[in-house]
Amino acid sequence: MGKLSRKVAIVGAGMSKFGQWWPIKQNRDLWQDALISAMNSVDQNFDMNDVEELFLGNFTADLFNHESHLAPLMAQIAGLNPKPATRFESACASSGLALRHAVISIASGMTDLVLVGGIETMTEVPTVDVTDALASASDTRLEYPAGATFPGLYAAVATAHMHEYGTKDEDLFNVAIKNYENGAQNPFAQVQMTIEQVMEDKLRKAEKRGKPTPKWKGGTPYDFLRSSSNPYIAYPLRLFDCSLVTDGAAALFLASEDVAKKYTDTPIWITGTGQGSATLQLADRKSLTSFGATKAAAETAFQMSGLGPKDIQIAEVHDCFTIAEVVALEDLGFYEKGKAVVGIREGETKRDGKLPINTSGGLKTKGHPVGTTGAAQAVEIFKQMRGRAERNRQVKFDVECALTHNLGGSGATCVIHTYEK
Amino acid sequence: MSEEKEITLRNYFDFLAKDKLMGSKCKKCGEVFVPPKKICNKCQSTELEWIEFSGKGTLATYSLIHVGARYFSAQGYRMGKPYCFGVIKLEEGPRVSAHVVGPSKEWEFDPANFKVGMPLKKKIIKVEIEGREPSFDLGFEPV
Repeated sequence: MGKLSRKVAIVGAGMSKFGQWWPIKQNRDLWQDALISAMNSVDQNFDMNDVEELFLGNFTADLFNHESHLAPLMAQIAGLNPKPATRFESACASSGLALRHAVISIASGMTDLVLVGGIETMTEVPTVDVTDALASASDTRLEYPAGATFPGLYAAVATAHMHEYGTKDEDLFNVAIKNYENGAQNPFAQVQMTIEQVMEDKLRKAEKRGKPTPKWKGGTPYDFLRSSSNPYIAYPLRLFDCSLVTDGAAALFLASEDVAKKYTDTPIWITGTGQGSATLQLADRKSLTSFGATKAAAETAFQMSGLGPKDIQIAEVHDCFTIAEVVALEDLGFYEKGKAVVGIREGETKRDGKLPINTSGGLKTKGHPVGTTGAAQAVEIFKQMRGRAERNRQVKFDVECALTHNLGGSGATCVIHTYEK
Repeated sequence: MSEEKEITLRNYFDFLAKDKLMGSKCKKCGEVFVPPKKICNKCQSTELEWIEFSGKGTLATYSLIHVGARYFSAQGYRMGKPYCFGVIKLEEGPRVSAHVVGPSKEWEFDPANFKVGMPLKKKIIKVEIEGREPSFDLGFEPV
């Protein structure tokens, strides 16, 4: 089993504001926003000339933007040419994978300071093309003629989970409600409203447009989420179970133990990195309610760091759909199979709970620019572990150990990292 | 004869168009694959032969997709008129992905018609979309 032969730390991390930016901002604009944010987060002595290599995660600028050779371009924007610049692709785990390879590069002794990036601009093409581009990360020859879409594949996982463990739609609503609550505290999030604020906003708009008053007026978030205002996208998943279509970039500076202290007194060490794969086609998996790639990646990352699920105090998990957060919490070993929904219901995964999950708002409200997500998860962990999360989002205890979980496709790739102070 | 055809994805789809759900079987350990493979992932043998699947199975899981892929919106499905994406466990063991259809399109729109475990049988669906060659997709319907 692998281990890191040299310690690796994050010494700077930042992101662009996530949102629907096209055409106001494009890949290179969002990348500069992320770079500036990351450069400003380095405490001291930052010099771009020290950076030796770029590891860039991007799913498919080819299909979204007709730009495919992205790494040298983004190295150019950062002023890094002629240093090596490589693009990493593993669907929605692209920048998690870029991060992993940056860690491997530093640990191997090849480099001392590197830049990790994630970029995706999804809104340049119409929604139906976004759906088709995302679907290209499934087993297109077999799943496309069957009608699979990403919401559809995760919905099929939800159906199986509901059948096997009695999970209810309300259990999934709880995930969404929590992640809206967190996103409302994140100035970089695409949606910065609680579910209650979303409801007020919708009521106001309905009144303004002279539309009939929704039946859920005066009701609870559950009434709203169970109504036609929250239509099915892929039964049993509804609109508010799905993450967003987002444009955004993120950037991280990684340093070896030999140089980390030059840049900060509070580096965040990446102590474990794990990656797993699974069959591309959902139908071919042994289990339809659990992701083997997550389990394999977690086992490697935990073994490398010497940590276990019980040591992890906060985590950013890949909630591309509400059911994915439930399944991740089980596969990562935080909860027994079928029991995560109980912990979620009891508030354990809220910001003030015993295991805060997705304090950033997650993919659900922070947004999900697919190839950026893995790097953006690490940005949130960097902020939380250094006690610098904005607004009222900072958890109330000192975070010593954290984890990120980045999934690609319908779970065919998973990249997991553990972080320690 | 089927034995003479090379094991390729194209030939798998050609069989589907002729109403045959074909896979391969390892001559050494008996493991079966659909679509067919030339390499047995169980025993590493490279001696595999074509076999025909019965087309009988059960619904392992499913989703009724309202916001569908372009290919399915071209078939008339849309918000409020969803189609069923299903994962079907074949009686021979492997699972496949398929469009699950019923006696009518309206039947497909109602979640009450679908249950995990319900028995299904193969029904090849001929899809004709303007501007492209007709295709023959793997579908299933209730027994």
